Amino acid sequence: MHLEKTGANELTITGNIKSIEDSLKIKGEVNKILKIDGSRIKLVIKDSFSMTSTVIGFLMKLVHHDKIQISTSVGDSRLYDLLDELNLVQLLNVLKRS
Amino acid sequence: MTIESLTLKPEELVLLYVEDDLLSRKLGLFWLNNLFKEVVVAIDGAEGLRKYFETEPDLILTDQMMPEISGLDMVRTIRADGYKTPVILMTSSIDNQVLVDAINLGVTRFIPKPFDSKVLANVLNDISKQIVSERLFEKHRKQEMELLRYRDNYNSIQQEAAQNKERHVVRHDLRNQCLTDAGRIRWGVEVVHSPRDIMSGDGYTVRQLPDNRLLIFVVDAMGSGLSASISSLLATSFCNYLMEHLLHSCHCSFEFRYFLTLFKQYLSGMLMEEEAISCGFFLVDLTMMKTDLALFALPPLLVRNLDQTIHRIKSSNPPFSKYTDDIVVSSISLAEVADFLVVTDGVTDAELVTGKAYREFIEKDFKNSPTLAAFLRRFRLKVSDEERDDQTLLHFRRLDLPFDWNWSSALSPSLEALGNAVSEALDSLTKEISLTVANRDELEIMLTEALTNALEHGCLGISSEEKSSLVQLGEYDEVLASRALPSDSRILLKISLWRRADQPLLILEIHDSGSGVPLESVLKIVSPTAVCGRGLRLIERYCDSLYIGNPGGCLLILKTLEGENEYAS
Repeated sequence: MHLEKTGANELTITGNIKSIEDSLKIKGEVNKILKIDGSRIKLVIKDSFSMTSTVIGFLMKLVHHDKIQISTSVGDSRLYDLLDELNLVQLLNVLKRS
Repeated sequence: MTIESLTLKPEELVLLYVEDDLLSRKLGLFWLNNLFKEVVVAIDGAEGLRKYFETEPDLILTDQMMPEISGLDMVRTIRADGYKTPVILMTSSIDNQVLVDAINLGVTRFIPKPFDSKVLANVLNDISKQIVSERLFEKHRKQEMELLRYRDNYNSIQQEAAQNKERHVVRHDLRNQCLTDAGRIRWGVEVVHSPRDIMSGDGYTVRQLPDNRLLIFVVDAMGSGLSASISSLLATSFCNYLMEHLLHSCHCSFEFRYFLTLFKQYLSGMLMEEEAISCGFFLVDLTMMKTDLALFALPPLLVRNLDQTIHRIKSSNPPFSKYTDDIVVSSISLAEVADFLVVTDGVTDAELVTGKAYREFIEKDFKNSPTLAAFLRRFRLKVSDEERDDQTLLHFRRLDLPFDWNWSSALSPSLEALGNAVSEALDSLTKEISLTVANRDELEIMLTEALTNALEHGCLGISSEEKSSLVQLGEYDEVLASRALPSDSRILLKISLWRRADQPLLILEIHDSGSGVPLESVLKIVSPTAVCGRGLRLIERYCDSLYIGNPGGCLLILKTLEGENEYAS
């Protein structure tokens, strides 16, 4: 998995989010971005078909506790379906990239 | 409300009167004002159109011959917008083309000019009746729609209640749990129950007896619809009641033949003259390593031995009916059994695209599939969803199989060490078997989730409630980093590969030194607003089955390794 800051508040994730290391890296990078502007973040998840529960829990904490506005752009429909099944589409403002 | 009470008279209607000739207009208005509730006047076709759309009158009385926009041109524009207001066309002469256009535009009546008041009164009376009739029809249509909506809503509520009742009656005491035999070998039971309608003609119950034996009942009431559902529900419900009654009220040990006799007595009273049911009773005794069977016209039981041979066990009894007399009970030894599959005829009789029945393929698919999920994937590829009857599949299986390859490691309980262990385990597995990219990624996700669970909930003893509250307070990461691990904390990861079915089966086993994942976490539905509890859902998404091994923290994950083009042929 590879992370790239593609805008002031935008993080682009390439590859599958599947390991403990991936979860820790995403948490660290998102926290770094939010230190500069702590109100919103956009995640562009290019091709991952899944997401670890650690990342899901972390994003939910950002929304509920830190009141961060998250928008998520998802490239793989399997990830979109997973987030939909977990009732997270609305909370994480998930959009399917065509 | 009667039709009479709805009858409209001209004095209750609004008329649009379009006449360009001043004298005719004044004369007409003098007479029409006494007849209608309101007369909207327009001096030509253009004004007629504007006033029509402003007032939406009940009917239109218009002159045909007017400058610029004729009466018919005005009607044409009104009709083009979809309005069907009745129109009376006044004209001093009619040529054929005007007549044809008027008919095509749905002009209701013609009145010769100058009009005769009696003729006009008759025409208005007729049209009023027509308007009433149309409004009555529309009102009835709306009432019907309302009634249908109400009935639909009512039926939905009833169907949901019936479905809840059905779910309440079927029981599975061992869902996601292991049962251990005398040799410490673990077994599991999995059931897939897919009703075609809201109420199913199939039913089942899986009950654990206090002495660790297992009573399984699968029923398929012959026929379809509500009657079959009621029979199946009553039989299942009585089976549950009888077991509880024998154990708790009579305080006697559970005796299979006595149970069957009492069941027969109940069922012969409940079934109708021509009614029959297919069903099977299984008493699994893991101490004696045997299963007693009483099968009544169920499709043959498929049994796989550890050496990969498949046996079919046919029912020894005809369908259960009012007239069932002697019951034949047989027995199979479990010593060499790897697993067995029980299905109802909704599976064997399912029609394939080719027109054949699935029974021709069931044995081969069972042989190829080491898990129920893998079997179902093959079944669903062959059978279309529309063709499905009620289907029940029950799979009883050994979870500790004589493995062909295994890997195990005691892991240091830290996130970093667990992450490394996942890579190491998968690298080792890759040396043994070729994994597709998708298989490897899915295995990595499952191991990540399972090991994180083992650390957080097992070794650190953080409950779901505590985690949820810490996450919401934003303190979870700090607590996770700072909480001291008990000195005896350990996590053990075991991976075994079983290659005796045509597709290899991978068994992931994660032990932790804590109390492990509570069964409730596996069974409960995660609330959309919950901040945690999704790890197990993710594992379930990518695995074939998931079992909690007690006592202690143990999670068993089964996954069939399927090649990407496995089913291409």
